[in-house]
Amino acid sequence: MDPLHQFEIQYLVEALLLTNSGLWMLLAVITSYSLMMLATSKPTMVPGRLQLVAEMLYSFVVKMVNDNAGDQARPFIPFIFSLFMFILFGNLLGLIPGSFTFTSHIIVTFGLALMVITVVTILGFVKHGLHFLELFVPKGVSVYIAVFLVPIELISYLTRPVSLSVRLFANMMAGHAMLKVFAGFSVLAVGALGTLGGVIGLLPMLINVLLTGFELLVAVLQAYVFSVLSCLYIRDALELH
Amino acid sequence: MNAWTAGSQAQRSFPLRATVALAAGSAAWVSSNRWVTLLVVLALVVVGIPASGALAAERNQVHQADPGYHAAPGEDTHDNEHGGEHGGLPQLDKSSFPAQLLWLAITFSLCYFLFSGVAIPRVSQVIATRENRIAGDLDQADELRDQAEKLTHSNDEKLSQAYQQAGVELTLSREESDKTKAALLAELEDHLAVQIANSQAEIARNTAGALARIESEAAGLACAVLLKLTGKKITIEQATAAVKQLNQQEHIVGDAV
Repeated sequence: MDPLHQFEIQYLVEALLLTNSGLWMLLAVITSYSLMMLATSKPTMVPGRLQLVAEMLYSFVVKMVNDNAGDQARPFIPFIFSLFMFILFGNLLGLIPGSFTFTSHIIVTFGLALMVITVVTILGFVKHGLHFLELFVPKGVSVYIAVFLVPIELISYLTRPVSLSVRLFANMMAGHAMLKVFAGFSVLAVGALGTLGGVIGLLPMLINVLLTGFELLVAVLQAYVFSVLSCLYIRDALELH
Repeated sequence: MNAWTAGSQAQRSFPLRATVALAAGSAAWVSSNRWVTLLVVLALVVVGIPASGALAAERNQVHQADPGYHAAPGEDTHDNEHGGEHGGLPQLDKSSFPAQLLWLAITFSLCYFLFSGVAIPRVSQVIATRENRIAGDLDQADELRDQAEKLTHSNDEKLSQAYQQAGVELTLSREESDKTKAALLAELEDHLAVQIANSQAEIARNTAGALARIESEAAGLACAVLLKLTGKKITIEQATAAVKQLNQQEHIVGDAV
């Protein structure tokens, strides 16, 4: 009945530190990779349904990287694609009743965000050297204003991984908790009022059906938002404003 | 389980080892854009280091806090310690962080190398093949259209040339036929003129002959009439002369009229 019970970490193979979270990460990778491989196993000129799904997923990410990170970011397509698929499948598989949503754990989303920021920061310094620090000094700003602006820019840069991870984590956790709460209402109604409760309990269930649809949207949207923001950060590092 | 009792050194290196092994194994796949792969591996390491560090620290804490930990490892230990009893968010349970970060590093590196090494080349090749095919077909269609246009153009040219030639030939033949016609007409006219002249001459001859006979008949008639009426004989010559005289007078009168 505890809506937070679904987020609890359970160790499945202690020796390997494999938890339910890790298992579902593994499943997300396996399913997303299998989808791509299965869809392109017998490629045809006029794509079938599955092939079209794989091609659209890939073209979607390519277009996203191109639009948001520029032409130079082409080598980052595999990275962004992996991020997108990993988060998307984590979110979607998490909607299966009884499964575990690893993206609803702040440490996982923070790990992903940290990875993005590490890539972006190293990329920036490798590409521009110390000029990368100009990212924190907007052009055409006098020294007096820069004194205030530089710390602000620095803080905004440092909070990027936090905002990136908290956004995904909070969205996923709130949605799943809400689903569980409404499902709990139905169960409570039946437990407390019997047959009448069964009738009343239909209402939260109906809401849950709607919420599930909404959560599906959120799952896709958050994967997209995470990838788009990663693209924008990569652009920052590549082009320095 | 024994691996974790060996010490923090081994624990720290485990996620690193896993990451590096995967990277090394997959390096052959990722032939192009090696530097991005290097970046991602670095990022994975950055994620992996705190995981292993925290893991070591957490293990030490567990060792100190619960000496009987090794005796009863399992799910319940974790749940009771961190999830259920405190009633807080499971997400804020720090003891789960290392395990999650470790598996994040493992699974994401797997994800990255599988996608960048196998899946993406395959999908992009499928798409590229189609695009090439479409582009080729379009090129071919363009070429064919150009050819068709050229053919139409040359056809038109030939047609107009033929028209021109036909016009020239038509004019030529018309002129020729005009000439022929004129020559034939002239010949015909000459022929007809000759015939007309001949006929006129014959008519004149016949008229003169007829007139001569009329005169001699008239003279003979006059002799006979005179003999019967008066019994006076005149010669034919006299009568002829008289008729001639009369005829001349009539002519004079006729001319005067």
